[in-house]
Amino acid sequence: MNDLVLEASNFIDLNVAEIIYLFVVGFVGGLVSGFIGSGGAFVLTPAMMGIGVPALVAVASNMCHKFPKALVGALKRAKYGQVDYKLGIVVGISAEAGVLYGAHIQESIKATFGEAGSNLYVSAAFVLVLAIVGGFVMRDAIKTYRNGTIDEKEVKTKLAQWIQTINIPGTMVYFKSIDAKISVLFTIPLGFATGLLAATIAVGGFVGVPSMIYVMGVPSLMASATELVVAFVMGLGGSIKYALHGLVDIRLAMIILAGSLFGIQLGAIGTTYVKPFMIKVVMGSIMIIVLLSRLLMVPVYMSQLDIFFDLTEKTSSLLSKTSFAIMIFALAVGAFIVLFSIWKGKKEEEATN
Amino acid sequence: MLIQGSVVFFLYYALMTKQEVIINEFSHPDFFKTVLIIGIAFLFSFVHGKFTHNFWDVLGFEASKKYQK
Repeated sequence: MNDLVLEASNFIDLNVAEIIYLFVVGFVGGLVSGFIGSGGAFVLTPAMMGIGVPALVAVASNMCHKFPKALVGALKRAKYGQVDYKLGIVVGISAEAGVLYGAHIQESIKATFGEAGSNLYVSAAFVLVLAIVGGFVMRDAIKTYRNGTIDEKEVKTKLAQWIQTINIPGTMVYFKSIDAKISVLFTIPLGFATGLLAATIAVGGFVGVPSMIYVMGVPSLMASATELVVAFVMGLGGSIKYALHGLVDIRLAMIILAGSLFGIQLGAIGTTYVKPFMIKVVMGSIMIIVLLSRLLMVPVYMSQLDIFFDLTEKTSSLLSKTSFAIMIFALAVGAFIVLFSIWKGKKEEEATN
Repeated sequence: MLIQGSVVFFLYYALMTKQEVIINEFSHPDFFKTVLIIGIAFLFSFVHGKFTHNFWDVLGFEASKKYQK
């Protein structure tokens, strides 16, 4: 980690244009996070790197903006009765272990295969996880829409129902979000997987929220709100770890926070106007678009490792820029759906009064 | 809300005008600086969080009425 400290000393000078840029990206990221409980980090980290911030400083500073943002979002959504604090803390602690293990895997891969190998691993994880989980979430949202069951109460999956019937003495905990007891032997691996993913692709919520919905049987709105508690626990632990190594640039973290707190308030308000299935629509849409973005980067990293592809520098650069543009587009799509939902919900409410 | 906005402005002004100190000091870690960083994050989230809440409130962006009961 001593080498990392040397890298950290490269805290960059910030000009007004860069501050405004980070503020805006922070706002959009916060808007999406307030709504689906996560997201934004996959754009914020590359956005910081794009203005010359070293990779680890970008990851650390993103982490340090995440926990105060998640705190504000969780408190706001708790006022709407959407947060299960106990579940968030239980999953958050096991997610912290996942983050530490995930960071260890990352370091090992980087030491063995270098920067390109590490990037390929991250992109492959992105593509695999988003294809499976994102595809499932999107399919479920489309099915709900086609069946015309948008207004009906969410039905727990068979898996969630089965898990709630299993009684393992000494491990059972009551969670208000599901109004039932489940064994922590189920919540711990799910939290661990969330943390592992957070350490790998920066967005643990892409596994955390769907696992709460489909495996534990938590309603969508509560799952996305509870994920903010998980993000707070993970973010606080991660920030302390990175700050102890001098990797947190508090200016960057607080500038992004400035924008993201405006966004997270709006995103949280948005959840009060939508049907639960909209959480799945926004999450699924973002995951599928981000999947395309990361898929474009796979040949670039494979080419750098001399595996199968042999791309010119110009082609690699074009693919990288297109990939980043698609990621921004993913966030913009999420933000648009959230803002449109608020506008539509307010209009409908005004019409009924 | 104006007072909250002024406090937020002051905090960010202080942070941005002390860039040199942050660049020179915070990249050389110790326990005290770690506590300071986490403390700053909590302070900004508390003050700015309250301000942003009231900001949208004033502009009429409130939760759906069924959540306000």
